[in-house]
Amino acid sequence: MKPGFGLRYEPALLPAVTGAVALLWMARPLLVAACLALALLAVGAMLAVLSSRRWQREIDRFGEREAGRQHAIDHAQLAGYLSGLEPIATKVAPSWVGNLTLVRSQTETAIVQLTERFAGMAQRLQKSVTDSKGAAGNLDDEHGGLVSTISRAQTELNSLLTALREALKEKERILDHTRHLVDFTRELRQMSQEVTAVAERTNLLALNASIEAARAGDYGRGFAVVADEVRKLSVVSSDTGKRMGDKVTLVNDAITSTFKFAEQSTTNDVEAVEQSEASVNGVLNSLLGITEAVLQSAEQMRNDSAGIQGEIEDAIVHLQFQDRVSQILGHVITSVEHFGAEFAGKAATFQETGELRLPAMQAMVAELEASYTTAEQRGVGSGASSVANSPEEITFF
Amino acid sequence: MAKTILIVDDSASVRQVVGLVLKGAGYDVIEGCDGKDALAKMTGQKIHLIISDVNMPNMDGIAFVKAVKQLPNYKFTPIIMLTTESQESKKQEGQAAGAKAWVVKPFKPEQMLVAVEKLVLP
Repeated sequence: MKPGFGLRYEPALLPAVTGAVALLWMARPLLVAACLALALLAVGAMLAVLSSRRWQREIDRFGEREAGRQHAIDHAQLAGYLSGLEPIATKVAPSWVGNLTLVRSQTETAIVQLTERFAGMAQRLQKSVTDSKGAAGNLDDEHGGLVSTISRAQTELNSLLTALREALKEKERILDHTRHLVDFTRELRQMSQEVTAVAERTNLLALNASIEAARAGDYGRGFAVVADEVRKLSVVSSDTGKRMGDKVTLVNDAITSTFKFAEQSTTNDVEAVEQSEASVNGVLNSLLGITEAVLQSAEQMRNDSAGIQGEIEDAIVHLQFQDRVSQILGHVITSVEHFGAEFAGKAATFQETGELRLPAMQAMVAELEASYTTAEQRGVGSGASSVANSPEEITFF
Repeated sequence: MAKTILIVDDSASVRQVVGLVLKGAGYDVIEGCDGKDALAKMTGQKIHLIISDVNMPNMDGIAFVKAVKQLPNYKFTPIIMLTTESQESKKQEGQAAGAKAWVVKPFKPEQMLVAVEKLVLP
């Protein structure tokens, strides 16, 4: 602030005022003294004005010198300050950009690899499920599968067992016939005994006839020969009856023995068939049970595999976040690059022209916001809470 | 014979995800990493549908759609835009260029398939 000409003490006025007072007090006549005093005061005032102006000029010059010196100091300090901030443009901003680019690149690489691996796992699971379905189909197929084969075998074996049971019944019928043969041999033995009895009675009659023929003398001689021949025939008949009885006994024994063997054999056969049936059914049921357990297990594995496959595919779909993150990082990288360039440009302008301007921060913010593509980014820009893009958003034109 | 779908996106992970969904549904897939790359790969191909991103280097999605509509063989090939961009003005740009649908990422596979099955050429 420049000093003015206000009320201020001036040393040149002191002797003028003192001289004027002395003249007025000492000199006579008073008029001459008053005039001299006025003149003295006028000279003193003029000298005071001249002195004041000279001092004012000195003060102004001093102020200008001080202002110039301060300006030089401020400029140098600002230049130094800006020079100190230069690494923001040359190092910090590029470093931020480099790191962000690295993050973007590494994230993308990792997500691509993850997606590839997940996709591979999903495909392998799909193949396993398909193969398992094929194998289960082979087991479960109505015409050629293991289950149907076992069922068919069971049916065929049951038919075979039925045929065996029929054969056993036939055998039992034969045994019944054999039993009748025993009855026949008993009758035959009876008949042979009757033959023997008839022969013995005939022999007795022939003996009586011989006695009667002897008593008749010559008249009975021919009758005696007949009676003797009859007696001989009765002896032969008796022997034959006995031999027949013996033979019938032998035949009867043989038939009885054969019948017993056949009966025992039939009993064994029935037991064998029943055991075979039980064994075959047991084995087939076990096979069927194992096959059904394998089928159930395969079905469970298929369901689990399909579930895991679905989870993996969902996870892959969620990996879409990488695209959004990459875009957002890209916008931030561009903005940081622009910030560095803007700051460096303003610093260079100051160095060249001494003109100091602020970086165009509003323009940079506007440029960044204009690059936004997602609803989340716009939410960040407006200071609102994060608003995600809706996955249901599909528009048909 | 399986139908062929062209996926155009600069993000490899998005191409993989979309490809997985489409292959799972029985489609054949061709991939392009931007508009120029996709145009080069379309030559001599029978393509039944195109799915394209919007923001891509070299040639963006809108320019790509306009270029496809100039090709006699692909003039009527339906195009679905698949993008993070949800602004109405961008959608209108896509519609004006010739796109048939606008799907905002992240997408749900079943809804993507609905759009594909609705638009894919017979």
